[in-house]
Amino acid sequence: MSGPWDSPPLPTLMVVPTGVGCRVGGYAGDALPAARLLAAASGCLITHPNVLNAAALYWSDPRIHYVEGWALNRFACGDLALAPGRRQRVGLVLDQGIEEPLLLRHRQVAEACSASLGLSIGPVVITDEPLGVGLAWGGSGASWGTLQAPAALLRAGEKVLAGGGTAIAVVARFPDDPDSGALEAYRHGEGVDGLAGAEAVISHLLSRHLGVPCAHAPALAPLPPDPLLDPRAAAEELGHTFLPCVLVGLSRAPDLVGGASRPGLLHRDQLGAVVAPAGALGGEAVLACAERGVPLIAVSGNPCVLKVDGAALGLAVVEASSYAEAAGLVLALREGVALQTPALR
Amino acid sequence: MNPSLEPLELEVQPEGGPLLPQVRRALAARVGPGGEALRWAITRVAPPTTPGSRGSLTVEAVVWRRSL
Repeated sequence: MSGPWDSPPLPTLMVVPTGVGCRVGGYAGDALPAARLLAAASGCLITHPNVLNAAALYWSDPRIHYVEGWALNRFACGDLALAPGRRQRVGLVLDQGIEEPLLLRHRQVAEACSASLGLSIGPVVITDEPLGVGLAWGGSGASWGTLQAPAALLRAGEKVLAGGGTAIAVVARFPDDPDSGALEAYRHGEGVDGLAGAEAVISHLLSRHLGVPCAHAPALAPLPPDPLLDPRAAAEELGHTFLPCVLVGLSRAPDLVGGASRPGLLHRDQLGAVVAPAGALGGEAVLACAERGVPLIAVSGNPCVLKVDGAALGLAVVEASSYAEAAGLVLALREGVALQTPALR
Repeated sequence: MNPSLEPLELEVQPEGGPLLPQVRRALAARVGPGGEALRWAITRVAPPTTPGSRGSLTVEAVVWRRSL
């Protein structure tokens, strides 16, 4: 993967906010090619499940660190460090609201990941009451959501840890709404992922409560085939569940380490760049990095429903028209080539 | 009172200096004790009303309130 002639890795944070309709990364793991390129350019990429999760599809790369959004924010703010390299035992929390046979499908994904990929999975815990996921949209058009029984989620997560799990995959039953205009638009490559905001809330809540790697997959009834399905959304329609990518991602997720420092940890002070959509710079992780002077690469070729750019926020940004250009800029930073040099601009 | 998740939208009129601590302070003041902004983002920036000032920020958040 690397040799003595390579420059040292330049730890880079890649953020594609969830539920704001990003053209790249607003669908089904469709920012993964960009993440792979940025990982190759930087040698060390820290990013979140929304970037990497493509339902039945996934890509495992030891240079990519899979960090849930709440933990990513805490890392960027200096509250947590990351300990890469550990093999996680991934426990599974299943929402009691998931009906058979969909529940069985999810159990079988866990068994398949153990049998075919050799992942360490377990325990499996069913929540003691249905989680009751509700979906909503904010005034900006960003999606969010809520749970009727958040305490049941936390209790189930505690049982997973008590049973030996070191990371947690959670599957909640999401409302089916196959006839909605928003879903049709999403499947055709437009608009906002109506599930994504609620997914982020669920995984943030569990990460915050337990301090271990967590990620979420929604349980949904299958949709009828659509010949106009956008390729960026297609990964979610290949199988019966969205769970395989979550189990694979969590299996090599870094531990979250608070407090004491030790060799081998990734700290925010090591970050050499942050890459984010140009119109979505108003999140905690991006602000925390940019306001500490970490070079902020703003990708204008990834528009979304928000218009919160560097000029509006008073942040200095390095503009990139695409992720390919962003990767070139990261590589230049890694190699010590001045970004202002005329040859690059 | 059971724990809950609820939406919050607020306006922040920033002063000079870094935005992050200003947004955090505004959220903490609005959320109050027993709650915290689990997820938030600046979702709109209004044009400044006077030259040299900063435009107000719209912040959308999801607030986690623990049992009381």
